[in-house]
Amino acid sequence: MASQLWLDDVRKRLAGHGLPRAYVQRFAEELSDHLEDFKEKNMSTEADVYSQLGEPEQVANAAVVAYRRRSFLGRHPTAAFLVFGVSPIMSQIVLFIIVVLVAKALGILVDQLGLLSDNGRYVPPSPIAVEVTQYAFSFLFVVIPSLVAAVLYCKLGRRLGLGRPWMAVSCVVLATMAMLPCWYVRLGADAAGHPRVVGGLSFPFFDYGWSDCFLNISQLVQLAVPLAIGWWLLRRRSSRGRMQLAS
Amino acid sequence: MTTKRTNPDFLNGVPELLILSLLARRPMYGYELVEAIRRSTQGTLEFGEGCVYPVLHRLEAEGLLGSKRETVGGRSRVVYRVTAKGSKRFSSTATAWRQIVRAIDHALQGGEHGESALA
Repeated sequence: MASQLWLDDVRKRLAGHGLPRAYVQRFAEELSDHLEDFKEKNMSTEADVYSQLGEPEQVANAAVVAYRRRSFLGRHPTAAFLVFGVSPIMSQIVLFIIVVLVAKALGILVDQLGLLSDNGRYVPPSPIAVEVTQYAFSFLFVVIPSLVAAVLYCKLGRRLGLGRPWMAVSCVVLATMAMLPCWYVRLGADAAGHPRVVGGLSFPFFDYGWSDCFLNISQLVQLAVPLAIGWWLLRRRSSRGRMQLAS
Repeated sequence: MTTKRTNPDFLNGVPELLILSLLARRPMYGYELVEAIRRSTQGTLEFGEGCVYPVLHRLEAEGLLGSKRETVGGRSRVVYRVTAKGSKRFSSTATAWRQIVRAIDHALQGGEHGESALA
């Protein structure tokens, strides 16, 4: 009984540290084999399991440290910081550039196809269409990429067994970067009366004359999605650990 | 409930050397290896037996060990053996270790000045 409790405790701790399921399974199988041998050959009391095999916390910590040391990022915290703390910022900057280019291309496309004109004269779209376009832009080019990035960073952290703090750092950085910009799509006409689509972005405390850019609904969604996905993945990991233990 | 503690940090690298040394003689499974460590060190090294597996897994991930589930003594067990890369690593680490031991021993005996370092 004590040996089973010991094994369950180790498994729970390993899963709680976020080590991959396959590794936890294999480790538990080997410990189980070891316990069988131990009981067979020593005829010891069950209580000896803790003194002989080590405290569950000690064994789990040894496994976590050894697993992390397998990867370059696990051995070099500075590199882990660059990947999980700095690269999300860089990826968001690249994303901003892509979004601006896409907005520009869309403007040219709308202009070329004459979507907002009738025989060369500008036909203003409905205010609802403008709002929908703006939110669609924010959702497609900010929310979804941030969501995908948060999932990828969490999966990478889990695969390398790096633990929750690095994953949380990535998600917070992604959320903060995603929250900053306000995306604007303006539909209108130029001085000659030709239809024009103008896309742009603004940041809080920088007034480019677009409009107020401080925690509007789009920004709140942009902030919430990476945080929510990170929180969900980290919670899921813990509950998986509990499920493994229960099975 | 007593707890066996692993020796302090200065033993970093020693478990790896010991494991490579013992597995270089013959393939072994985990429990067998733990017993071999205890016998060969005459019980000097104290460690939680469960802590051997993370070291084995890491050495395997580095390509220094190979493992295979085999039937030994009527039971299925994961048997570890040293790879060619592991043999090379063992040779170089063992040489370095012997040099360090000689150097420390020399220092403990008073070094060149002939003074005992141990009061």
